[in-house]
Amino acid sequence: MPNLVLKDYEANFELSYAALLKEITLVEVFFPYLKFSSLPQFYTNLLVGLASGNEVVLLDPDFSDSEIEKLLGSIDSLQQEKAVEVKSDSMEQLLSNIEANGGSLSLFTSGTTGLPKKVTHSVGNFIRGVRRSDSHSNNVWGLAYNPTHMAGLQVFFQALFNLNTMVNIYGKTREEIFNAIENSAVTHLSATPTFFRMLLPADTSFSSLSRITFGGEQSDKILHDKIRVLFPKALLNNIYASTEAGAILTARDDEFEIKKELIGKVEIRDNEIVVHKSLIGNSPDLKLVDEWYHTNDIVEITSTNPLRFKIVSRGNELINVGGYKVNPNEVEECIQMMDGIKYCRVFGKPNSVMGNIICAEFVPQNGTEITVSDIKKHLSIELQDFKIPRIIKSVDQMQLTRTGKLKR
Amino acid sequence: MNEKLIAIFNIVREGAGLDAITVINDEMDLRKDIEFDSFNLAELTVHLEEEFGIDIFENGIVSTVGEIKEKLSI
Repeated sequence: MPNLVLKDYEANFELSYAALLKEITLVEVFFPYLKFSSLPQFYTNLLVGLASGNEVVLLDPDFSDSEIEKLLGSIDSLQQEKAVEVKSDSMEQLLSNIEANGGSLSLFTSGTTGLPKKVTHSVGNFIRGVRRSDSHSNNVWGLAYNPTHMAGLQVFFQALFNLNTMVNIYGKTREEIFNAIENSAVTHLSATPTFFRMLLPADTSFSSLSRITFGGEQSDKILHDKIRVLFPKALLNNIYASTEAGAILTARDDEFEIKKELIGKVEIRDNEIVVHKSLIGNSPDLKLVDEWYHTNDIVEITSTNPLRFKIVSRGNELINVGGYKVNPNEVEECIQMMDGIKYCRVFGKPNSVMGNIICAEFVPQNGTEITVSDIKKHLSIELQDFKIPRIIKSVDQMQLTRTGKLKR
Repeated sequence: MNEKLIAIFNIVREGAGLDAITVINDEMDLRKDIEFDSFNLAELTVHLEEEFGIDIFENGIVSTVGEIKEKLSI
């Protein structure tokens, strides 16, 4: 068994399973509303909460105070503490406590209305997707996703339940990522196509990688071919997941199948992916039709037996920027609240680096002199960084659709 | 031509809260030396396309200032 749960070369720390277990059993309080500040603190608090059967609410590090007030009602919630005691003699015992004690995890995801919506998952929802066997015991994971988001949590649980080591490469430079892969002999990497694109050109290669998973946005064959040069021994596959339902499909290249154990709970109806409520996290904002959640994700069936399909579009309004989902309504509301803005519209524009880039246009009110820089400053206080439009323009009038809505 | 590129780099750098740069050379790495992350590179493509009508990242990632000039044929 590898003794490390986590390693970060640049932050110069490593956390062993023994130290993690000791910390968890010594802790006397846990914070139900957890704003990420460091990986060890985050994972320790998360596991303490889950092992004691509590709900842990996860908040991104770049949520502003005003966003947190809108989401939680008060910034003081972050100070809340709860007395706990976790008794576990071994990691194995801790993991079975986590499975048995019915804790849950809540995260915020871009909703269909302005504010992000809270989605709560039982810990079982996460563990359901974990593949556990002796053959996984020597895996070394690169943590390339935001650790507080769905995909980052899936990597964490996959690594944790096999007692694997995770190397933090999230938000690092290409050179740092390559050093980490080389020095820790990373075997598994799950990340967005944008992440992999940033590793190019493929002017070197790493033979330790045995599995590469693309997720979060559409990927393409050109990128796959280049990534095969970079990681010549790796098997490539795609994963389909969402914050509402987790990972429900898996595939090679761009064809998907419904996971065997989920047949009957995930279906294709009128070319749309629908998911049974038993697989969906709890959220008052999610609308179900006869116990089924309609994803708005549209597929093209390529084979009926076995059922295989390609994903044609992620049919909601959210704009996918390198795997981050941005709700244009939320950004518009934020711009609209500024003095001097008459109208604004926020839209995605196809982009060769990140899939899409967020753009905004605004009509200033007569007689006011509001600048692009004023808007960017305002948004940087109100919104997470990935939601801020990179291209903002002042225009004389807005384009409207035939029904009179703002055209995206 | 460097002046035009510097001006465009500085629009992106300002948005990212970085200081303006005054000098560039062909060997400079966009990520390491110009300090652009993926969001900044995405923004850079839009400005360059508006100015020159060419998407420099269309056929894969561009790493250095010199490679941008090659793509733009300037």
